[in-house]
Amino acid sequence: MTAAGAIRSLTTEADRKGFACGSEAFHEERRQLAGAHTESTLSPMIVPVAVGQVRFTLPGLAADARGVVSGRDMVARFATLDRVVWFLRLLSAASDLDACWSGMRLVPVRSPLGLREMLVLVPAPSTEAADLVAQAARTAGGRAATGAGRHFVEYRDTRAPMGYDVDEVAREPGDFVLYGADQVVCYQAEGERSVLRLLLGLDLLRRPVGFQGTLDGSGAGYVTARRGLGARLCEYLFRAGVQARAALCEQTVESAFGVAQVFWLFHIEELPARLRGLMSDTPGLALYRPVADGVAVAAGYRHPVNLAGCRVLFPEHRLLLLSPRPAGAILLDPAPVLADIADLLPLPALTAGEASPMAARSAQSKRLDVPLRLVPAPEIPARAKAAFIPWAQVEWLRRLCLALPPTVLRGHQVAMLDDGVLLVAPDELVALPLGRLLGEAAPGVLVPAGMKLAPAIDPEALAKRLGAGEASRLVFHSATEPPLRIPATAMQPLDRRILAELSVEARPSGVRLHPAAELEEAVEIESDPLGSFSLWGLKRK
Amino acid sequence: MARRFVSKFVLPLLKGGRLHVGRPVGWSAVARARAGGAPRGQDEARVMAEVARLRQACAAGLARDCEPPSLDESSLRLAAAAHNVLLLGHPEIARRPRDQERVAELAQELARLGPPPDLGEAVARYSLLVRWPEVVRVEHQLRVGPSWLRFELRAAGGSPGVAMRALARMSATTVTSRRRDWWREIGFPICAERAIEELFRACPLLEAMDPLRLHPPLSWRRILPVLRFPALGRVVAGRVLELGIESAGSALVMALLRFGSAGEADAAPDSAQEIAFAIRFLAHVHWLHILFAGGRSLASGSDFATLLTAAADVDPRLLWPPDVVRSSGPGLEFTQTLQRLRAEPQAPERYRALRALCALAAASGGGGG
Repeated sequence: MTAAGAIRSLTTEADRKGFACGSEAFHEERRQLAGAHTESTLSPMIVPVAVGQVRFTLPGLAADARGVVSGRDMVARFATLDRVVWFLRLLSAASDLDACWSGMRLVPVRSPLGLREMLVLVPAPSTEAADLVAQAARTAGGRAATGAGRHFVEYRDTRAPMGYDVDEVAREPGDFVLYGADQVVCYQAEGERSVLRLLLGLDLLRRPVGFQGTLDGSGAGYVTARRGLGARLCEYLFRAGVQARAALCEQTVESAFGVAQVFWLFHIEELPARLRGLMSDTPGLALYRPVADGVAVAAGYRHPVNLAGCRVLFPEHRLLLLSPRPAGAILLDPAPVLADIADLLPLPALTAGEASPMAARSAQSKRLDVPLRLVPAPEIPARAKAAFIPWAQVEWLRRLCLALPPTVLRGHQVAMLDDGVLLVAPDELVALPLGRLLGEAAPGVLVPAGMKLAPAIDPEALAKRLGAGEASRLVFHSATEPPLRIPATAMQPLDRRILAELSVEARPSGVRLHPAAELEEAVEIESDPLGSFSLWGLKRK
Repeated sequence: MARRFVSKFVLPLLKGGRLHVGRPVGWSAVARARAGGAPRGQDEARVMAEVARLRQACAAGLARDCEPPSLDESSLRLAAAAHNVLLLGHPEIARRPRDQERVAELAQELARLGPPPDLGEAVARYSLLVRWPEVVRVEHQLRVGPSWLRFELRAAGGSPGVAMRALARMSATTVTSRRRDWWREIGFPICAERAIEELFRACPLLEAMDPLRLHPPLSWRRILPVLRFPALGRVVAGRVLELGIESAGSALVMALLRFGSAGEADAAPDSAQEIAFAIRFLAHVHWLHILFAGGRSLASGSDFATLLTAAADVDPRLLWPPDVVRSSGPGLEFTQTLQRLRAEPQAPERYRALRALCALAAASGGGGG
């Protein structure tokens, strides 16, 4: 009997016995049978990863800081769709898995034996997230694997706390290769299903009657109302003092022959308890509770999956209202712009008057020139950008330069003037507190520390007006003397300027300059033969 | 054996070249090397002088005014332990787990020296093992025949044998040689873990200079004794800056979290002052980053940034040295960095854990001073 025939007979036998097709016993039996009859499965090849191992055979595997091995993606394999839903329910209960949900793919696959299974591909941003995915998959009766591309190896378990690697990479054709402890299976993908459509297709579950969330009248909520009830509900809510906003919406119709259903949508900030019965029991009105951003579920029901945990699946700027069958899901794309209900009430008859605008006239222009001058500014914190060092103090600068780190020497610039040296720092002058400190009043405009320029013009405008900037600096060194313009060509890096000419002395070859130069040779292990009885006589102290 | 050990293992470990790993070095070999007396012959004297010179050159780069390191008993025990740990990867012993355990136990006993008592001893021990993490092993792989009838020969750590050299001359033979980093790529068997920990305990500077190592995990308990020497603390801080303050600093922060919360396996942290000292050391690294990083700002989102934010929220004295004026340039930049980090989103669980750690350090009075 061929493998396919054996499996067909096993399936028929299972159906006759009343086995559930997704039961683990059934699949275990089927796996054993498949492994016994087919040539397409390989021998076991996975090996536990050792502590400290950093190089792996399977491409895409990497070790994290703890040494746990994982790939870029996780794959959860399930035999039936209901187990996939179970897996999604478990996964949605965990928090901080937005990255997993956003990249999740649902791929129906077919094995070489013709079995159809479902693969859920989940990005694994960290091993913590991968642990959660693996735990959920195994709880739901599936298998968890990790890897990247098309190769995935069994995820770590109690037998291999650091994970698994493979001895050899399989070269058999297939869209996905899963290396398990018992076999290596190559799967062919058969299209891809949308996770969002799967979630939206699930039936809502009715909450128990005594569940507080059902009967609780407080909290925000959405209310849909038939078109004829909208104006009445607006008036009622306004009179009741309820803060609400509303919009007239039209449901998206996919068919050109369909008739769009028009209804009012109300968003109530805080629904009072006394209005709960009205909203939920009045024919034509339906109450929804928001469960995530842009998603609301009919009051009294809940979705099988925690939608707040997988909120990234739902597109932004849309509103999704989930109702029990037969209404199903209502998608409002884009989300309607809601208006305050006070603006939607019918207006009384008004008399509109006309008013003409007042005309304004500009005054005749006169000269407003104000001379620029230096004034004391004690309120400005002293933040030095540059320093003017007279020649008498330049010797101090030379001594200080010997102790400065290279970053300081490289960043500072100097200009040689007649009566001293102008030293300019790249950001703030901290390391060289010499001479008269100069602050920066505007880009390229230097003034003595503790003083400012009056009038207080915008610095950018001032620099532009004075022609200061990268090309030239303007130094106001005294209140009585005109400013000094220093072109950029006169500025030089400090490290180049202070370097005196070096006298080079010729030396004979073979002189060792630095011990580090001789340490460039690698330390390479040479395994000597140990010989017989190599541990003979080895004693402990 | 003892004299050959110095020339064939200790000297290449310092200078580079072929590091001969052979039969295990036991207590008797250490004792013979210790009691060897004056060098015999010119070659041996040259080897000893070369060893001393290389260790002195390394020590001079770490601290001033240190005594020249001598090849005393502790140095020989450390070298023997390092040799025996390398021996665990020897092809002849790698497949014998029981022998591996015996050699690992011997290495652990030899390395059980305890933390260095003073600065000179810490420097002397590190000067011997400074190049130990650089050790590499050359592996040759030879393949003959088609894929369905493949014949393979491998040689690890040494020259290929006669058979391999003969087969390599065949035209259908594929020869692959690769150089593998012993410390990061090959690793050591699990039975050597305690021996490695003892080596790190005896030579904490070796561990502190490699904070990005994965296994065994970095231990603040082991490295704290050397960080208390200002000269070595500066060396380690410089190494953290060299490796990258985000990556290496975050590794130190994670180790600190283990140290403060679980007490690192064998014991609880002695006192909250130790945690406060560790936090101040990390803050010191950040001050150095501000002064010498050339304007490169600290990236947010790392564990190191989260620790700074948590410490600033709990007790700023953990971060601010008493002699730094807040209105100075570095002080303003530090303040701006903290404000920027606070505005960035952070992992809430990690922030809560580090905040609790900082609160423990601050409550002990370790925030000041």
